[in-house]
This record gives sequence, structure tokens and C-alpha cells, in this order.
Amino acid sequence: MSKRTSRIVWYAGLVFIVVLALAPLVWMLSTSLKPEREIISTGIRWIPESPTIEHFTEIFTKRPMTQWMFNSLFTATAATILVLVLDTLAGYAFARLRFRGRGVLFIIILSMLFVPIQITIIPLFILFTRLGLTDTYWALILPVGANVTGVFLMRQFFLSIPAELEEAARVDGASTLRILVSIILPLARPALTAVAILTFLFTWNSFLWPLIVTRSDSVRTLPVGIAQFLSLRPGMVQGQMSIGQSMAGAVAAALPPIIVFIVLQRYIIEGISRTGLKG
Amino acid sequence: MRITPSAAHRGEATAAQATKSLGHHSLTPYLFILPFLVFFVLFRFGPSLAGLGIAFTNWQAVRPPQFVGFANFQAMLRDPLFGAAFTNTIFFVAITVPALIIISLGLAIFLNRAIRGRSIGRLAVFMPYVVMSTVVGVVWTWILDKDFGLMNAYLNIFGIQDVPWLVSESTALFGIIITTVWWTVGYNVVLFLAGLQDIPGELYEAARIDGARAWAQFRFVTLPMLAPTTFLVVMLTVINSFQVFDQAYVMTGGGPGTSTLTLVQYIYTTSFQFQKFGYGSAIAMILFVLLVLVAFIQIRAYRQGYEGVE
Amino acid sequence: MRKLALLIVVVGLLALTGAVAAQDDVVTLEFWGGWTGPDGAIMQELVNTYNAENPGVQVNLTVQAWSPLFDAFIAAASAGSSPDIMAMHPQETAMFVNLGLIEPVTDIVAASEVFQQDAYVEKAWDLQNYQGEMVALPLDLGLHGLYYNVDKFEEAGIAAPPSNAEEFLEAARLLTVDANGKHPGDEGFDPANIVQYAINMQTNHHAFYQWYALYNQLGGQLISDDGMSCVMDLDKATQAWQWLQDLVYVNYAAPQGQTDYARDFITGRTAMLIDGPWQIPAMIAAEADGLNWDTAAYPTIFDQPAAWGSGHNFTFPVYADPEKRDEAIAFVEWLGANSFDWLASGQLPIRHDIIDSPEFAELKGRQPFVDMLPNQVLLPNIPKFSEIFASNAPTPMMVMAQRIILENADVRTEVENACNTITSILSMP
Repeated sequence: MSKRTSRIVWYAGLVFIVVLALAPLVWMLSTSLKPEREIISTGIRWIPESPTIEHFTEIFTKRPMTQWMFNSLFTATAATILVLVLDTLAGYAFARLRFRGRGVLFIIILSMLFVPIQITIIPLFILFTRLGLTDTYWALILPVGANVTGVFLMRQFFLSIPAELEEAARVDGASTLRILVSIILPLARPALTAVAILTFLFTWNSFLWPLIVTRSDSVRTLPVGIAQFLSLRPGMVQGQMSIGQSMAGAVAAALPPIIVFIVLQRYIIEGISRTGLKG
Repeated sequence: MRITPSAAHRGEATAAQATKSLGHHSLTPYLFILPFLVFFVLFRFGPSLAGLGIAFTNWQAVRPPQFVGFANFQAMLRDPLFGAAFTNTIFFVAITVPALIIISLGLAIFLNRAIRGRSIGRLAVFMPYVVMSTVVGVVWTWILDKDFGLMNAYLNIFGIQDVPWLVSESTALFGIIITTVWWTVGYNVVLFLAGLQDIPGELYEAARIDGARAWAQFRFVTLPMLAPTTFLVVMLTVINSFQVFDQAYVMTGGGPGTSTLTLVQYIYTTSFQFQKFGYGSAIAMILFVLLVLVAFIQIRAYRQGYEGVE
Repeated sequence: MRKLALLIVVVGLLALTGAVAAQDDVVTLEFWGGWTGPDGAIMQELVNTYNAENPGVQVNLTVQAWSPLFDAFIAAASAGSSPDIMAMHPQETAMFVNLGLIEPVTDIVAASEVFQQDAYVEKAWDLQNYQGEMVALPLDLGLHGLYYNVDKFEEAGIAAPPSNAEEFLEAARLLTVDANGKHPGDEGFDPANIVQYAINMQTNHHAFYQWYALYNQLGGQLISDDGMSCVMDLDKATQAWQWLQDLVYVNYAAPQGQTDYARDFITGRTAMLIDGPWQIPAMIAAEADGLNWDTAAYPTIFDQPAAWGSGHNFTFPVYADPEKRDEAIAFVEWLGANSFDWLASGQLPIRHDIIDSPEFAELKGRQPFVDMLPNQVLLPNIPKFSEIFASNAPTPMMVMAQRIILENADVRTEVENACNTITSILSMP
């Protein structure tokens, strides 16, 4: 096979992959822009015949979408900052500092990855009720601080940084915190980005806990809010559920993380891959 | 984030070096750990222990829990729904994990070519991963709709009769598997891509000089060099696959019949819908033990394989 | 003129002081309901009206699909808190009474001027009763009826909507048409190329709702009076399911594995639709696209009339703030008295004054449903309701329904399995 044909084949493959990956999202967008009448007429139409934003106006005027979005954005951002601070400190300690019980503690922390989150919901809810913090931003932000993956990722990354760098600083008499802040952190951007994006996505997307712990629209997050009018399992809901509105809700929920991802993609992918693999 | 023996050893060594000058009686490590530990104990470890402890009780919502010993575990043996959930979960893992590994490795190798347009492919493949599970579920329910779905419309073009997807016991789990693969494959691709880029080009050069063809290069250079990455990816994929919940909950609710009931969904159903916290926690306990076991086997297998290669 | 101006000023001042006073002690009521469709918007409007009329009270309506709503309700109660008013369905009250989550309303009823037995249709009142006590206050009822496409009936030469098995089967035959215009039973009819089906066949929980109606038409009982075991009459249970299964697999009258019933009816894929009155707003909306529809009672296929139904009601949670109870009652009474506006949601009225009103008579499609109310059958109101009947979990009823309707499984076997499972669930402590 000549170099040219192989190139053509490769590009054909690339187009195929890109189409397959994006088609469902494009279909979601396309459906959300069709009037209901057009949606229910059969046949595939990728470009809406008579495009409309009526479903978006409907969900943005009749429901507090902007409030839900703000709540999601605020709690996800706050939780991400919290996790970055906690996990950097803890990850560094697990990677570089020696203390009694380090190994056991690390294994206990990791083993929590195996406990399904669903069974912690009731005890957690009782705890937050005792604290008087249900239906507050605190309830949405604080539990994310117990993020296990973040500690693991940060530790693995710190392990990959040559210890000699710190040695020199330590000889100069710098404190551990100072070494971490001025020497290690500047190198840790990929890891920080990875942990940040994973935490942000996790918080932004989480459903069950916010569902249980929030009540009012002033605190409620987007996934819980839109669950009201997403037609989960057609036919399950009494009363007509508009497919167009459902898809418009899906678009509104999916768009912010997609935009963030497209804008920051270089850092995100670099972060995830670097952290994942520089053992 | 490889949990390789070599990395672990290296970690030990560097940590030892670092601590030498630090002194052993320092409080610093504890101060570093403490903030996280407070959160961890309060919001993850504590609730998990409490949750697992509930497994030995009969607890219905507001009634005070009663200790019942192993009764919940015995009940599991006679519970056909638990049996179905267990089998479905194993089946889901057995199909999804290899599919996710093979497809993502294939995609990564395909995209690992210094050519213009590569980043677009990587971007597109990763994109679904940032979309929330409820949205993924809703969109795919719509795509897999038997009568009006996009999927069947295209299959019809190729002369394939309507596939019932989510409304048949024989196909529903595959509908969820397809959704899951589409949704999560990008994460693995990114990890594999990074692994591939770490393999020194000289190794391929040397292999080519030795006359190795593409397959031989893959078999004797790529695979062994990628082993740490593969181990990590498999581990993460297995853990996530065992805990599949959101997609199934949104798309089928465990049906038709019991064909898509998974363990985590059954935990959720018994705890919340049937208000049997104790029984739900007992099932969670089984899942926990199962996962620890699988992780243990994987680490063992990996160590043996790794030492074999070295 | 000056007097008028003065009056306005005085009233304005009064309103202002009222508003200031209200700010000091506004009672906030948490009101939860599962109206996630367009009905949620209607309830929200009612709540807004009430809030505007009663400055001293602020009602917060929380809407979430019923199942997650109940999850949140149970979690909240486990931690000792609850909404002030919890909406649910009559068949779910036993479950929540048994969990100790809701309180009887006997005292409220005794003192209420709105919730008086003789103001309500008998059924609506009786359903709020559990073990001899009123445990909820009724809002509405709803039940399965028959929607039909008037144009398609005329084309097929059918004079009236079918009311019994014979008429139904004949209508089903005439309304099922293949690509060549042939009907089932005709020479050369092609079941693989049907372009129009007579009727829908649900693949979700509504499938067993229909079965339950037919089983009741045969006079069957599902659960023993002591609530401890399944007492299904296997012959009758099989007969009822067989009828539904045959509609799909023998008569070709209903599509197999249908996913969107309302849509299929609106687009003309099916000529009839079995569903509740909550579809009425959608049907009215579809008239713009040329849909010519009407409703009729759920057909009596077997011995006696019966149609599956349910309704909405208000309950008062145990863990709510007792100091807000009076305000909560006042709000629910106001909703009860103003339930005409709620009819826009499609649900059926249960108060005689509304049913007999000329305004109600003008509403399209409602009357056949209301006439059928005395024959409405509800699923048994038992403590383990969700373990047996929940629609989004693999409960014995869901498994039975989906195996029979989707997989064409042997009816007798599925019925026996379901009955055994139900008994084992009920016999567990």
C-alpha cells in the first residue's frame, strides 16, 4: 500500500470514528430544535426542516433552569477547589512523607473505591440532618471532599517527580509546605488539571445524593432539576412528555461541560494521560 | 497512576530518601493528611462502615434497626432477583470490559499516528465522557427506540429488521452495553494513547530491523510495553463495570423482566424502593467482597505476568 | 373622586403594613408531589395563586418523579424530617402508614368544611380508608378509558366504540390493516407489513393494570383478605392475560414491543388507545394536526365492568412540624375547594359540585371516564405494595407482564410464578 492510499484509508477511518462518537450528541441537538410535530413524523432528518427554539424557551421560562445551572456551577467549582487543596496535601504526604500507618491508611482509603456509593446515602443523610445542613450548598460540596481517586492520582503523580529536586531545597532549609508550594506544584499542573476536571465532572453530573439532600430550587442542581422533565423511559410517566423538551433539557445539561472541555481540552487530556501513566 | 511493583518500590525509595533529612518524629505528615482524613472519615469511611454494618440488621426506614446476624445473607441465597442481578452483572462485566479494552486499544493505536487531524479524533472520542449519565440514558433510550429510533432506522437501510433493543429480554442488556461503551471508551483511549506515546520509537526500529511485521511489532513491542497501562485501564474498567447503575436505571429500570437488573440497581431498589436498608447493605457487602477479590486476582496475575516479561 | 383616592391610599397602607407584618411570621409549607408532566405547571400555578392570596403563608412545591420523590421522602423521614404535605396515590398509603411515615386524618376530616363525605363521589372517599381510618384527603381520580379515532372508525364503517368482547374483536379486525389494505383473517393478509393497528398494547406497568381490570371483570381476587398470600384464581388470571397476549400475537390488533402509545395514536399508527384521562390535554393539542378523537368507557370484555384506576391524595407526614399543621390543612382545603382548575391536568373531578356543574359538562372527553368511576378498580393497598407492584423495579407483576407481552411467554407458567413470588414476598416478616 502506498503512503498516499494508507493516508486516505486513515482519514476515512478517522471520519468514521468521529461520526460514530458525535452522532448521538448531534442527534440530541437536532431533535431539540425540531417542533414536536416534526419529531414524531418518522424518518431520519438531521437538519430540522423548520428549526425552532420553542423547547428551550419553554424550559428556560417555565423552570428555574438558570438557577439550577448556577447551583451546579457554583457547587462543582467550590468542590473542585476543596478537593485540589485536600488531595494535594494528602497525596504529597502519601508519596513523599514517611509516617506511621501510611501503608495501611492508604489501602483503607483505596478500598473505599469498592463500596458502592448507594449504601452510604442513608448514613450520610442522617449525618447532614444532624448537622442541620440538608438543603444547603454545604451538603452538596462537603462530601466531595472525601474524593478517593483524587488522592490516588496526586500520589501517583508526585511519585513520578524526581526526589532530587526536593533534596536540594531541603538542604537549603525550606519547609515541607514551602517545597510543595514552590517546587512541586508548578510541576504538577497536569495532575491538578486531571483531578480538577474529574472532580468537576463528578460533581456536575452527580444525581442521587443531590436528589436526596436538596429540596428547594435555590439549591437544587441541574441533573436533579432536569430529571423532572427528561422523559426517563418513555411511557413511564403519566401525561404527555414532550420529546423536544426532554432533548432541550439534555442539551442544556450537556453543553456547559462540553464547552469547558473543548476550550480546555489540551490541558485536560494532557492531565489525564500524564497523571494516569507517569508511574 | 500505575500500581506497578516497580513504581511502588520507587515510591518507597524516594520517600525514604526524602524523609531521611526530615526526621522521623515530625508532625508534618499528619498535618498534611489531616484535612483530607477528616473529610474522608466523616463523609466516606464512616458512612460506608455504617452502611456495611446495616447489613446485619433488619432496618425499615424510621423503625429502629434490629440485629439479625447473617439472616440477610441467607435470604440472598433464596432470592431469585439477587441471582438475576448477580448473573446480569457478571455478564455485563464479561462483555463490557473486553469490549472497552479492545475497542479503546484499537482506537488508541489508530489515533497514535503523527498526522494532522489526530487531535480531532481524540477530542471526539473523549467528548461523550463529559456528558452526564442521565442525559446519556435519555438520549440513548431515544436512539434505541424500537419504532422511532435512529439506530433501527439505519439498520433498516442495511436491510436489517427492527431490533427490539430495550423492549426485549434478549437485547436490552446489549442496548445498555452499547451505550456504556460509547459513553466511556474515550477515557480509556486517552490513557492508552499516553501509554503508547511513552514507548520509545527505537524499540520499533529494532523490531523492524529484526524483520518483525506489524502484528509481531504489536505482539512483542506494544503489548508488553503497554502492560502497566493495560493493567490500570483494566482495573478501572472492571471496578466501574461492576458498579453499573445510572444507565440501566434510566433506560430500563432493570427490565424487561429481570434482564437488565444489576447488583447496584438491586441495592438501590431494595434499600430505597422496598425500604429494606439491611438487605440492600448485605448485597453491597457481597459486591464489596467480590470487587476486592477481583482486584486481588488482577494484581496477582499482573505481578506474575510482569515478572515474566522482565 | 377624592374619596376614592383616599380609599386607595388607605388600602395601600393596610396592604403595606400587612406585608411588613407578614415578613415577620410567614409560615413556610413544604409540599411534595410527583407531577412531572404539564400537570406540574398547573399545580404550581395553583400554589402561586394561594401564595398570592395568603401573604402569611408561603407554600413551596417540590416536584420530582414519584419514585425518586418517595426515596427522598423516606430518607428525610429516616433522619427525622418530612415535608408538611405529601401527595401520593391511594394504593400507596398502606405502605407509608406501615412504615410509620404518615398520620391518620380522621380529626382533620371531622373538623373540615371542605372534606365532607357527601360532597365527594363514594369511590374517592372510600379509597382514603385504610384499616378503618381515613389516612389521606382526596384530590382526584383517574382510570383507563378508550380513546378512539373518529375518522378511522368512519372509514372502517364502525358505528360506535366497542363495549364488549364481540364488538371489540370485530372492530379490532376492521381497524388492523396491512400494506395491501387487507385485514387479519383475509386471504393473503401479511402480518409483517401492518400499516395500521387497531389498538395499543403497553409494555410497561400499564400492561398489568389492564390485566388487573380484566381479571376483575372475571371477579378475581389477587391477595387474600388477611394480606398474607396470593389467592390468584389461576384459570381466570390466565384467561385475562391470554386476551391481552392474543391481541398482539394472534389477532395482530396491537403492535409488539410498542414504546410510545400516545404518539402512535396521535400519528394514526393505532386507531384506539387505552389510557387514562391525563392524555386528554395532548389529544386536544393534536386536534390542530387534524386528529378527530373521542372517548368511551373501558370495554367490558368479560362478565362485569371494571377498569384500572388510581388517583392523587394528600397525606400528612409524621415528621413534619406540628406547629404548621393548621396552615397545611388550610392549604389542602383550599386546593380541594378549588379543584376545578386542577382538571386542566386531565384528571377527573371527584366533588359532586364540580361534576354536576355546567362548566364541567363542556369539557371534552371527560364524561365517559366519570361515568366509569364506580367500576374503577385499584391495586390492593398493602404495606408491601412497592415490592409487588412497583413499576420501575423487577417486581413479580412487572416480570409477569413483560414476559407475557414482550416475550410471548406461556401465560399459565408466568401466572403461577408470579403468584408464588407474591406469596413468598408477603410471607416474609
